[in-house]
Amino acid sequence: MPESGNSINTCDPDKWVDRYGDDLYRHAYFRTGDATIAEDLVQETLLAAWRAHTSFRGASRERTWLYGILEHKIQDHHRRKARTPPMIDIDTDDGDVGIEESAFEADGSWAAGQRTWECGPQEAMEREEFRIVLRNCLDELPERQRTAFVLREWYGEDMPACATVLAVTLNHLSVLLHRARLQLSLCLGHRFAQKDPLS
Amino acid sequence: MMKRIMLSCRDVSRLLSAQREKSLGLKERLALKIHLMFCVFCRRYARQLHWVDNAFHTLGHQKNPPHMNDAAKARIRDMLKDATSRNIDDSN
Repeated sequence: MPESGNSINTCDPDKWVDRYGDDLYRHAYFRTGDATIAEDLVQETLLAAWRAHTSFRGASRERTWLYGILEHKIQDHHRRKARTPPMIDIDTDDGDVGIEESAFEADGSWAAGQRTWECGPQEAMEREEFRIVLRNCLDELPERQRTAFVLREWYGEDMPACATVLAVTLNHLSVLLHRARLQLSLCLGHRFAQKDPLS
Repeated sequence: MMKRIMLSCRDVSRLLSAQREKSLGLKERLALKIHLMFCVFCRRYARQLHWVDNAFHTLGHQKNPPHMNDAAKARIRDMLKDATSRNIDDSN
């Protein structure tokens, strides 16, 4: 295993807050929109990580591992908050190809009504309302698709590290990412079309 | 051969995603290029994927990103210190 400065082999919780605190917090804040809840989630994450640290063998990087735990905490939080368990959270991404079935016709062309949208300027991201739309669309993804996407695209973790955290093969990870991207695109298309057309 | 070249939009959406993780083979790249030349919807989807990925990347690199206040950091540091000192014996 390649040695690096943040190798987990020297499990060092004293450094966790300084090394990862702000990144974890930023993510939790975006996903919950609440500073206090975000702080609590970071705290729960690091404590859980400490309790589980003996089971961590350095197969994934420390950073990726912590994000994986935070993802669980965020999802627990959403579940607690929801009055009824959200139907969408049932993880159907094994075998089931729900999103692809609804996005495409039987002949493999784009389904009518789910035609893809025109992208607007990237500066839109500086606006709070777009961040809310993104957050909502992310929340609608099945759990493992969301975790895969967040680790990969937000945190830029490499494929092997993501696969280790999710305990899936690289091929399965590709499928999860593909479905996440497809569903996110469709969701953003719906939301933008309703609110503030980007084109 | 034509069958190999003619991709459906569904195939294309998979390849566009896969392309973000690894480089495609020559045949796949060629088939993708040809399809995109003729299909406005898939061209849009390709732009969207790029947009979505960029959007999340931007989130991770905001100009003034929110950060945890020092009191919260100190509190968490203390809790961890507490937890580690209680477990130090069995972890060594």
